[in-house]
Amino acid sequence: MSLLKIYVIEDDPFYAKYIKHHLSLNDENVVDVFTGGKDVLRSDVERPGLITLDYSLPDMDGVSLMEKLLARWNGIPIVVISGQQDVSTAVELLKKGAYDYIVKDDDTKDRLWAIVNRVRENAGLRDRLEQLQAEVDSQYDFKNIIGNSPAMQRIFDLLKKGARSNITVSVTGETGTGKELVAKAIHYNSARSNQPFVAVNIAAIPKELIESELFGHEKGAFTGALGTRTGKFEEAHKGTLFLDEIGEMDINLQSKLLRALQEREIARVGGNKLIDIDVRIIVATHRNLAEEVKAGRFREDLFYRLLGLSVELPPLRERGNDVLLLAKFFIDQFCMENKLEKKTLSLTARRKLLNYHWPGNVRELRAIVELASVMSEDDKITPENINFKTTDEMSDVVFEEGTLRDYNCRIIEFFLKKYNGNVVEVAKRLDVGKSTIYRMIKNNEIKVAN
Amino acid sequence: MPKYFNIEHLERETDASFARELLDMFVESTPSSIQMLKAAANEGDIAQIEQIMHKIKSSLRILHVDELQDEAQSMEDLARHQGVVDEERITRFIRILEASVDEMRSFRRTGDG
Repeated sequence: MSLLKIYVIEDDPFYAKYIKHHLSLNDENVVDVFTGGKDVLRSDVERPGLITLDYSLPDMDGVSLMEKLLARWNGIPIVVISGQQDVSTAVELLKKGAYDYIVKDDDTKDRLWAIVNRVRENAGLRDRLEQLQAEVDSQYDFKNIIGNSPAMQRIFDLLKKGARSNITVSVTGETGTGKELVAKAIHYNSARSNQPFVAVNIAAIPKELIESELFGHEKGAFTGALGTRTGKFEEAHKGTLFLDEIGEMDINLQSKLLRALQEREIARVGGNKLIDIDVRIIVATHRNLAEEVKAGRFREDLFYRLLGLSVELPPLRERGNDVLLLAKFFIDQFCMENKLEKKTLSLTARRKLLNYHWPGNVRELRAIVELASVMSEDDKITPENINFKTTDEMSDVVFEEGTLRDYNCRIIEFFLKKYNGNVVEVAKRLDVGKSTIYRMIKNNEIKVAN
Repeated sequence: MPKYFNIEHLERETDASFARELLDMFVESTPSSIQMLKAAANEGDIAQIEQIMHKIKSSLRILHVDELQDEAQSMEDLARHQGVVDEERITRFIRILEASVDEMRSFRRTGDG
């Protein structure tokens, strides 16, 4: 725990000694005493973590000294200690920014101790928050989005442009291409980075609840609305609202969303009061919204409103060697987090990854290389450690480029394995002659598991 | 056991060595306050009496000089809000305060402290 520097401003040397003694009992507090306001306001005095201020000082009254201290050290916790119990003074001081007000009595030292603990806890939380904020900022720094392919370089250019303004951004791309990551990167690199980033997955919320989720509701607005609740628009005020899978939004709700975007104000469900909102919108979808408009499932006016800066994320299969860059990144990260020895991909494993078509994109790549890291026995990840678990079972068979004859062999091997070596069944299913399969087995063109 | 102050209580709240430091500090600084109080009482300087009472009451509370701590508060209030002080009360206050200081001094000298 870090040291807490405390200034005791007290003109009575006896009381100052008493307070200093108690606050110094903990080695984590450093206590300096000032006998008047002028001393503590000297320009060479550093900002402390906490100030205790005697309300009655000979050279300055408590209120004006407190105001000067707050003007100099914005947000500094100041505990005013008074010899008199005076409610109106206490209220005035608290209104003007005092952290607390206590009276000199038998409980003073215990109360002070509790305040010190509270300030220390708050300072710890603030430090942690700043640390987390820095981590988040660094995590979503553009340079930490991996990709050297020309397709991704074009995306980086767009993201930088998106971050520089408040323009609505629409991100499209297949599932697993990193649409939310891109939305976060734009937010955390924009002027709104210190404000909330609120993500809503429209597809994950039941249709009848989305309106309340987005706009909030007033108490009694519907059965079960036991209290007033703010919605995601209000939560994201001054920040960014990321509407994922916008293409799944019910057409009736689309008009309310359009109104909110145009008017920059919303009303909670069951309420009449209009609430101003200042929200940057980023939407994402795996659907082709233009096609949805044509099909009458998406409002044309909302489509144009949301279009803004369009970022089309390329599928992983079109990103060339990015597959290997990403795989290395995920493997290194996974091994580090799980305290495994550092692993690298063998040449053939790299080929296997490069030749796969990645229907689940980056998300799938991550899952597969993480599993491969677990399956690998030593510091090399081999093709045997890489298992594609897609719904498309043929993926395992056609993982690399080969001749048609190669594929024939693999397909027959695959089916023989699937049907426990039953040649008759496989011949029937593949519509080839049994003799063809027997001949391939005989010529060692295909292997049959025992 | 001291009559005017509560050393046990003070030691419990702080520690023996610091309790003695506080006693020494009080013994050293209070005579000048007593002189100032006497002078203020002679001159009828209510504001000065209020200020001395305000300042000394914290020390009296910390050292558990029970007979005077409420009295100091009461006289400070009277001086502040009504602009009056009772001469007899001041005289009595000074007498007990001097006796308390003497007792503390003796306590430290005799080795009981």
